[in-house]
Amino acid sequence: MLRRVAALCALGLAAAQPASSAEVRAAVLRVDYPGLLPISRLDLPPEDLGFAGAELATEDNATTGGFLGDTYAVHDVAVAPEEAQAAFDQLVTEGYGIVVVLAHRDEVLAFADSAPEGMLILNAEATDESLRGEDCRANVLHVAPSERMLTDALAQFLVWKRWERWFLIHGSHPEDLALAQAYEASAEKFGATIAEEREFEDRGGARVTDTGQAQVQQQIPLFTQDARRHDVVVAADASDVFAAYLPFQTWDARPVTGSAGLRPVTWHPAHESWGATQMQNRFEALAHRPMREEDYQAWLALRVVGEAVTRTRSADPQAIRDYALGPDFEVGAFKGQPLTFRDWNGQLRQPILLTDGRITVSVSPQEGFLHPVSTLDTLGLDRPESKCTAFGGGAE
Amino acid sequence: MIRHATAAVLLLGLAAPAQAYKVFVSNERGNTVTVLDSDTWEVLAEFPAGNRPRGITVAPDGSELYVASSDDDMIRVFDPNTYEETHTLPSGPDPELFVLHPSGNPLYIANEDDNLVTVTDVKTGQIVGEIPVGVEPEGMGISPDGKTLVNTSETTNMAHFIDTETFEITQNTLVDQRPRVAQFTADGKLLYVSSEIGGTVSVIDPATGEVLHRISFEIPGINPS
Repeated sequence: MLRRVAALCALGLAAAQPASSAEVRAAVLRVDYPGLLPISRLDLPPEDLGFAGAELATEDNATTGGFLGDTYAVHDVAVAPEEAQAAFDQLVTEGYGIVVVLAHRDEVLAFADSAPEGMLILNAEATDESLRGEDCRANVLHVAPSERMLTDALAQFLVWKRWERWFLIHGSHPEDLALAQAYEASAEKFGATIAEEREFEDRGGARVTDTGQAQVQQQIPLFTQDARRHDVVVAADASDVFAAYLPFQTWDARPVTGSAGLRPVTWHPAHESWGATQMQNRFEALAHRPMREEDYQAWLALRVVGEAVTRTRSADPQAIRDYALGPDFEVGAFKGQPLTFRDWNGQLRQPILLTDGRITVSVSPQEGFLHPVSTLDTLGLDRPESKCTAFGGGAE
Repeated sequence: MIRHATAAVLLLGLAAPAQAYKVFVSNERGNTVTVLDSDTWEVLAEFPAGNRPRGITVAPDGSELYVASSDDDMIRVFDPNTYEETHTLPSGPDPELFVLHPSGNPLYIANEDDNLVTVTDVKTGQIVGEIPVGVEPEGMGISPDGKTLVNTSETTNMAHFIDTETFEITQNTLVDQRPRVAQFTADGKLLYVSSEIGGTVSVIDPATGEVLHRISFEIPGINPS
């Protein structure tokens, strides 16, 4: 079907088009980190994770580009972390000026610092606050939300529910501690209280296999026993070690949120509002599987590029960056309002979905959380709090 | 207009001339069409209309009611008096909104998932054309003289002007994010296109495709988001 449409496009559009045209070549670089299998086999990563979203965006952009004489191509690269820099350097050698990166903080920073002048990197995975703050780079736009955007999104909902006393359970890895700090800061920002805080130590070992269920059913009640009075459990488990075990197993009958239960996400395959059904249909027809956050974020990164190219009629990465950060840019992304960039650190403003894994439970920002510029800026660190100076601004 | 809103058409009451209109409302989530009395606003009837009925319109002479059954990939045709389904028409996949030629034939249908506009002859029941358009085609408008069809594409963000003789796109106009409805003025001299996410209505000169004006709805001092 798609092939037929593409062929028809070429025939049908000769009539009407302007002389200038843009040729857009983008790369998607995904770093695959070694790790244990996910707790739930529903979370097993597909081989085309992220790439399928990028392919859909490229098709979308190419369809639009067909009316203007613009062409779009995408090149996918998946590498182990030790080969990541070499792979990035290779993309530079091959002349790619636009690279969507699905990688962790250290790799994103290394790419940004080694990129030649005039290159544009779009971060579609790393949520680290520092990449938007003291370690921000002028050549990186963040399509992935920051950690604080995600934790603020959940915090607003919990406060709206008047679930203001939290039992915060975090893992023992550095990323878990950073996520716990983000939840602590979100609690303080919106007036919630951490009534109890515990660390779930990662001692390695088996997952829910063999006798796993029986073990979990014994261990989690004990671990959560005698916590101070709380309304809700907030799990900070960036490493997928324990959070999935918490719902229904806690000593007190309290809802679980954060890394399990009610989770803040950019996308999930049951999201249907604001035209999202069409996006799910198109993605599933292309990839033959449900759309994940990485796919959505890669799609969004390349749609940002496509939108800027369509409006500016230029494929120059610098022109794309400048337009994206400027006052005229906006992109529709199935979230009910236009998305724009924070011009002080290159972060894309966006609503955050709250999902139980089955449906969209709510969408933040919640009603009643006000902001003088955009209610989306109630999520994450705001301009006056920013430690980013690479965008010619910042608070300090 | 939000995504799950219903579509509606008006039909003059046939049984009792100069009386109230019948309003036909498609219920996307309820899989039915509701019939209202335009004077009393009472529900006169509700009847099944296939899976995910969305686009809805009535023949100029009031003889047929057309409903896009999106998840059935077809147009269902009903008798507006008996509410019985008389036959179906091919629509291409996932038909959403559509517009009827002012003469009553053909029907121009937006296929939302396939970036196509399908042209169906409502008399012969044959598909007579498929026109590739932008991503997520939605709104359909037609000029009063029937010569120019306009389709809006929600992710491409364009109004596509299509010659109804040749089925070729004659011009494309970029508008704001997620264009939905395209409506010509009665004299055909202006085209209005609403953009759901952009929050604007573009006023377009159909002769040139030029955006003459953008109507915005922001209230000073009130943040729209």
